[in-house]
Amino acid sequence: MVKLFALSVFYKGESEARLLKTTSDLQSFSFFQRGTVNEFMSFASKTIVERTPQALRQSIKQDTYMCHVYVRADNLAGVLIADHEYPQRVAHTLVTKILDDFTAKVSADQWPNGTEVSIAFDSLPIFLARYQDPKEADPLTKMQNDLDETKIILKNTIEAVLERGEKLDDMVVKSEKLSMQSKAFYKTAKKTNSCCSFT
Amino acid sequence: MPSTTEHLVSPKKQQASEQQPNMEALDINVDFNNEKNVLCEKIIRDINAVFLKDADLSSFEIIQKETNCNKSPVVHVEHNLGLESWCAQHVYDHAHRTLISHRRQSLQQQMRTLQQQQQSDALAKYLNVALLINPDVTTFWHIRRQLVQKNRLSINKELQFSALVLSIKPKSNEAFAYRRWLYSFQSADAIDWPNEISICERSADRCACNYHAWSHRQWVLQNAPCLLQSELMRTEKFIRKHISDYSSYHYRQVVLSRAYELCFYMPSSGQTDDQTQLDDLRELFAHYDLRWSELSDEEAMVQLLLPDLNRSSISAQRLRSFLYCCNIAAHDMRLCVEQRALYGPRDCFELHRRASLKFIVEQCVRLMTGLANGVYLPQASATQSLEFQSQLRKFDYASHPFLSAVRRVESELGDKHQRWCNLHLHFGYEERRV
Repeated sequence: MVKLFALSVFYKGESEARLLKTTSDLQSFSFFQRGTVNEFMSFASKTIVERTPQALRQSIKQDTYMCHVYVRADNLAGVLIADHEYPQRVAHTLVTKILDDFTAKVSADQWPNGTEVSIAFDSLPIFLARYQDPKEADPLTKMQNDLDETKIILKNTIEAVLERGEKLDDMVVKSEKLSMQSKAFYKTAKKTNSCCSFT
Repeated sequence: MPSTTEHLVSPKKQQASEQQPNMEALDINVDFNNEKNVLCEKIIRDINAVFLKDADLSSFEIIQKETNCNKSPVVHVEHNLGLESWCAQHVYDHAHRTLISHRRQSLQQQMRTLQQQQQSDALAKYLNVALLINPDVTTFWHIRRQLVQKNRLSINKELQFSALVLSIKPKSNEAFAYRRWLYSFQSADAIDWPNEISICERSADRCACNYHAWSHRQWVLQNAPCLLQSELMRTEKFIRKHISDYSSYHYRQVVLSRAYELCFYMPSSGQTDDQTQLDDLRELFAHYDLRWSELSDEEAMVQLLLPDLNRSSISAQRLRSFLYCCNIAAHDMRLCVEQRALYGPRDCFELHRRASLKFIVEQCVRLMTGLANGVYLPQASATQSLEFQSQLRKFDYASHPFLSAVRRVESELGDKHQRWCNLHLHFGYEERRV
């Protein structure tokens, strides 16, 4: 399935990444799963931004999902979570475009202390809806031919992004952003090695 | 999870069950002394209350929660029903035991249970829970059928219930089969076919390669030909999004041959439509190096596709349908090439392009050769199919301007493609041996 799930913009501070704006489309998940999925997507986005060096693009595969991240030299970062079938090139062009738009609308001095409420930038949901069809991005990709696909670093799991000595399991247990229910979900999902087969 | 292969229990326990004393009370015996049973009964009652309260329940799921937090494990939010996972197994065991003890009774007793309002209601309560947690037990679906036949369950409610089962298990063949069985009591005009299509689509969207959903959809299409036009549109939208789910491509091929079989075409509404309607076919001609500027009108296209056609032997409608369906196939061929450029090579694109090509070539040959004996529809039987294959083998492609161009250009797509063309279309390329 070609699908975009979430878009978010972060500011990568010295100690942690700060979420400036986010949006998601989780209609394809079952109703009671959506909360958990949303928590995990923000958790993964934040974790990955914190572990991506400046001026670098990464695409990280986790199960059937793909997390595309770009941290600019000025510490503004964009994350796009899509299905693994969504074309990688389009995903990165879209992230670049969003960050450009963001820079044009929100001045840089607001970034380090901004919150989701204080930042006025409402185009994320529009981007998310419009680019569900990657064909929409055609003129965009033509415009930005300078995007060098060979420079995107590919990783096969989130684990591969973590620093030495870090373990995803521990991070999930320690995280304050994840609810009890999400942690329970993570445990069972890991046991069955799949995210949607219960019972 | 308990075993999924329950078999109908034969009434061999007749003597044993006849000795049971409490005939006037519920036949379904529940041991209320056991604390666990009381809890399970309460949960099942809670679920039943939701069923009675909410007529528009749209989904059911099991929520991951390992411990009992001293709250009701039945969650009901915005027409969605959830059951916490810690109790699912106990509740299922309880419902399962109760239902099996019902099946172990003598036939007469079973019938008595089904006929009495109070007892059949109780039975339905257990069936709901058991089937939502484990939709694969044929015995339970069978009891539901018995209840429907005794007028204890309404058909509309049952359609809703099976849709609910599909929300938790989109690949449940039992649920689809049950729906078909329910519809056998209704007249085809009274059935909400578009709703049925959207249930299929939702199930196919949730689970890739959902054979049961697609074959159910074929059944719908067979019964409701009025859906052809919308199905052609919907399937294109679906394959654009689910690029590697070949089940959906295959269904589109079925829709296309059904459209041709029923002589379907879109009546052109204005002059502009007439020009653009067959654009994909024109582009296909251009792709095969045929001068398409000379082929602007329909007449010229027919001449190219079917030269020396005896017009009196074919109806105008058949001819229009032929052009319309070939245009769709040509559209799909181009779509596959475009998708390939965007997403990279994938088997689905390759296979669907071949299937579309095969459709065009076969329909051309069929009309050219089959007209004499009146057989120009896709073959119904295996012998007819064999007969057509032999005709295809004998067909002289070189004499046909369009097909010879197809043969020439398609050969450029590599050895593998050539072998496929030889095998299925008898293009007779020379095999290159290494």
